[in-house]
Amino acid sequence: MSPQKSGDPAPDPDVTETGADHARVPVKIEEALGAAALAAICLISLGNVVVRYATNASFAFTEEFSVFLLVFMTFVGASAAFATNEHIRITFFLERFPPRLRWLAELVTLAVTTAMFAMIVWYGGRVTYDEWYWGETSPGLGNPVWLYTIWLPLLSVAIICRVWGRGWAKLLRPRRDG
Amino acid sequence: MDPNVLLLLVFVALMLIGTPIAVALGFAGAAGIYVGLDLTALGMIGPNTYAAVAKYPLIAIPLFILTGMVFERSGVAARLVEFAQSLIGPRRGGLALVAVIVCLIMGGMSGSGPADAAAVITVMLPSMIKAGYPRPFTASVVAASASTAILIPPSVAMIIYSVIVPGLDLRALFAAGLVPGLLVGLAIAVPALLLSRRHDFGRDEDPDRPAIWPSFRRALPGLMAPVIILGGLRSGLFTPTETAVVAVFYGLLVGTLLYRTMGLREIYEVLAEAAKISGVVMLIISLAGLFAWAGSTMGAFDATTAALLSVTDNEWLILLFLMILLLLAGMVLDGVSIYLIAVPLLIPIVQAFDWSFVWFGVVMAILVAMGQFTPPVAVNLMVTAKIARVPLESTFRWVGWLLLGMAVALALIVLFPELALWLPRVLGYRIT
Amino acid sequence: QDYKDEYRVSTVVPAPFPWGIAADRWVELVAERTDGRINMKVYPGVQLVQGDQTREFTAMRRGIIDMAVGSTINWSPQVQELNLFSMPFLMPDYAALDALTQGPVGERIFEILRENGVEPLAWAENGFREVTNSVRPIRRPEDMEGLKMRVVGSPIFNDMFSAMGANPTQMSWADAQPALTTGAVDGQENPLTIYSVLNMHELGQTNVTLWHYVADPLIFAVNQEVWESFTPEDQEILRQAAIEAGALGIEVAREGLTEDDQSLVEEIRGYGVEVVTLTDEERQAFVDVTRPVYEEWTATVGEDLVRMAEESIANR
Ligand code: NA
Ligand code: NA
Repeated sequence: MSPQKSGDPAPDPDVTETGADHARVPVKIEEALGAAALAAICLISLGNVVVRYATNASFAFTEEFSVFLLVFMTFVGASAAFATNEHIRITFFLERFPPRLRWLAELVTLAVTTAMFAMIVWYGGRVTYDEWYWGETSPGLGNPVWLYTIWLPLLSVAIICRVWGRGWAKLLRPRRDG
Repeated sequence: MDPNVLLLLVFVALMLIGTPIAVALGFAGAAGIYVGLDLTALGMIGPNTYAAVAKYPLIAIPLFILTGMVFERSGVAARLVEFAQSLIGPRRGGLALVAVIVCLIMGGMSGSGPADAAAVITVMLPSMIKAGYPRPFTASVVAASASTAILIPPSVAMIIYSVIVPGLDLRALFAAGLVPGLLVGLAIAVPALLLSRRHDFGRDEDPDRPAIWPSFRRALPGLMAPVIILGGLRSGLFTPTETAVVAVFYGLLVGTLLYRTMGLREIYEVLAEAAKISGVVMLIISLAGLFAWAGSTMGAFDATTAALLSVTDNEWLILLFLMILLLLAGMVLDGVSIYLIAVPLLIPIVQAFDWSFVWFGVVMAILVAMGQFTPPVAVNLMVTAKIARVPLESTFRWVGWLLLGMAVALALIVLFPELALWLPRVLGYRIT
Repeated sequence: QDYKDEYRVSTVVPAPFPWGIAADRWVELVAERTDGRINMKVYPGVQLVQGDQTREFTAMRRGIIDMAVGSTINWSPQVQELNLFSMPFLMPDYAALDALTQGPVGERIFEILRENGVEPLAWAENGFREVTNSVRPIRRPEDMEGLKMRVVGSPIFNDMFSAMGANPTQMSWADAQPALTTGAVDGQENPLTIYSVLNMHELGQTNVTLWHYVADPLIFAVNQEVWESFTPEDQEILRQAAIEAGALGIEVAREGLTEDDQSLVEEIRGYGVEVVTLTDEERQAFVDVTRPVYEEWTATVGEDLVRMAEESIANR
C-alpha cells in the first residue's frame, strides 16, 4: 500500500493484491469444502464409469448428487475467491485512477456485490421456502428439494461476509484509522 | 431510460471500474429487469442462479480444469520441454519453437490458457534468458501459444458453447478445434522463429542436446494424456464428462506413481485450487444467466440481431463485423463471459446465414484466444509478464507480430471451413 | 385495464413438435380474439428457468413465468398426483387417455392444480412414450435385462426400469444425445413424434417398441395472479383458445400413429428401423413385471385418484 499524501484522506487500495491475510475466519474452510465437493464429484463420476462397464448394477442417483455438488462447489469456490480477491475483473483502468477515485470505485463494487448477493439470499430463500412449503421433491431420487436449494442462500450469506471482511480490512478501516 | 440501454450501460460502467465481471453481469441484469419488467420478474434470480450451474454437462468444466492442474503440478511440462529440445536441437529460435510445441501439448490436457502459460514460462524462462531471448519476447510467445488451449480439446469455452447452442455435439466441436489449434500454433511459431533469427535470439543456446530416447520415455506419460482424452472421446467409451474424470485419475496416477511428484498434500492442494478456479468460472455462468435472461425477455437480443441484419445482408460483411466485435470484446473480457453474452445473440445470425455452428464455434474460439493476449486485459499475457517480471507494456512490440500470425490462421479457417470440419466429418460426428 | 406488455409462455420444445405447434396456436388465437390486448410470447427450451424443465411449475407459481404449456411429467416433482400418467401401463390406448383427460379425472387434476396455485385451462399432448434402443428388439421384459436406459423427470421411471431389469440413468437431453451416439447409453423413451423430428435413428436407436407404457399429456396453465388480473371475458377467450389449440396439438401429436393411419410408423420403418408392436399377451408380461411399482406408486398418487382413473378407463 503506497504512503498517503497529506490532504488526501483516502487510502490507496492496491487493487491487484490477492491473498487473505486479513481474514479472521480462515479461507481454509471454503478451500476444504470445495476440495471435498470436487473430490466427491470425481469419485462419483469414476464410480459411475466403472460400475457401468464392470457390472449390470444401476447407479442412477449420480446425476442428482453430482449436479448438487457442482452448485455447492461453485459457491464455496466463489466465496474463497472473494476472500482472496481472485475473481476475474478489469483492473487496467482502476489502476490508472487517482487514489480517491479508485477508493470510491472499490466502494461502489463493494455495494453492488453486496446488493447482488443479498438478492440471491432473498430470492433464493423464497424459492427454498416455497419448495419446503409445497413439499416439492427432486425428479431423480424424490428427495425434498429444499435440502439442495437452501445452500444457495446460505453460501451467498457466506459470500457477503467474505466481501465485507475484505472491504472492511482493505477499504474502510484504513480510511477510518488513517 | 430504455431498459435495454440501461442493461448495457450498467454492465459496461461496472466492468470498467473493476467490479468482478460476474457481479457486473448479474447486477446489470437485475437492474434491467427491475426497470424494464417488474418485481415479480426479479424473482427469477432465485431459481436461475441455481439452475444455470446445475447442468450435468457443466461437470466437465471443473474436471478438465482439475486435469490441467494435476498435469501441471505433476511436472509434466519440464519433461515435455526436455523431449521437445531433444527433437529440435540447439539452433537460433529453437527454444521459442520448443515453447510453442510444449504449449500446444499442454493445451491438449487443460481446458483454459492461463495455467498452461504459467507452467510453461516457469520451466522455459531460465534457459531462454540464458540463451539470449529477451524476457518480454519470451512472455509474449508463451502467452500466445498457451491461448491455443481453448481451441485444442479439451476446452472449457467450447463446453459452454455446446451447452448454449441447442443440439450441438460437443465431441464434434472438440474434434473441429484440433486442426485449427495446430494451425494457430504454426501461425505463432513462424513469426516467433523469424523474429528470433532477425534479432539473433537464441545464439547462446546450450549446445548439449538431450538424448531422444530417454527424454521420450520420461515425457511419454505426459504425451499420453492428450491421446487418452482424444481417444476416450473418439472411441465412444466415454461421454465428455466421463473422459474428463478418466483424465483426472490418469493424471493423478502419473503424478503419484510415475513421476512421484505428488503426495496426498499436493492432491489436496490441486483439488482446493481447482475448486476455487472453477468457482470463479461457474459464478460467471450463474450470474451471466441473469444478464442473458434480461436481454432475451426484454427483447434486447432480438432487436440487436434485427438491427445487425438490417444494415446489410451480405454475409461476409456481417461475418467481418462480428469478428471485429468479438475481437474488441476479447480485448477487455474473458472468454467465458464473451460466450455467455454473445452466443444467445449470435445464434439467430448463424441460423440466418446457415453457417455451421461447429465452424462458428471454432472461429469464435480463435477470436477469444487472440483476446487472451491482447491488451488491455490479457489474462495469459498478464500471467507470463508477471512471472517474467516485466511490465505488460514491454511485450506490446512482440504481441503485434504474433497477433498478425493468428489473424492469418483465422482467415484461412474462415475461407476454408473444411480445415475445421474435416476431422469431425472423418470421425463421423454430426456437424450442425 | 392493467395488462402487461408481454406475457411469458414457457414450453419445452418449439414447433414443428406438436407441443410447440399447440403453444403457437394458443398465442395466435388469443392475440386475434383480444385485438392484441393480451400479447403472449413463447419461450421454448424452458429458457426462462435456464432449461431446467422440472422448475417450470415453481417458476409459474411464483410469477416468473406467466403461463406455460407444460408436461405432466415435468410438473410431477411439485404435484405428486401428476405421476398418475406415469403409472406403468395404465392407459392402453388413446381412448383411455381421453377418458382420463376429458373426464372426471381431468377435472379432479385441474382442481388439484388450482390448489397448487395455478389456473389450468386445457389439455394437449406430447404422446405415448415408446422405448427405443440400439441393442436388440424388445418383446419381453427379459429383453430389457442390462440395457442402460436414459430417463428423466420422476423417480417412478427409475422404479419401472429397475423392475424390468434395466439400468435407468437420469440424464438431461444435452448429455443423453452424445451418450446415445457413443453407446455409453443404450436406449431412451420418448413419444415417436420426438423420435422422428430429432432423427434418433441417426443416433443408433434402430429398435423401437410400441408399448404405450405411459403417456405424457400437456396442460395449458396460467399463474393465479395473472389469471385474476384478466376480465372474465378475456379469461373466457384465453380458456377457449387453449381448448382449441390443445385440440389441434392432440390431432398433430396423433398424426400417423392411429389405427387407421400408421404413416409415421411406416416412415420410421423406412429408415431401416425395426418397429415392434406388442401383442396383448406380450404386453401383459410387462404389466405383470411392473405391477409392484404400480401398487407402490398408487399411495403417492392417491388411492382415490387411481381408482377413479381405472374406472374411467374401464368405461371408456
Ligand atoms: Na485444451
Ligand atoms: Na484481451
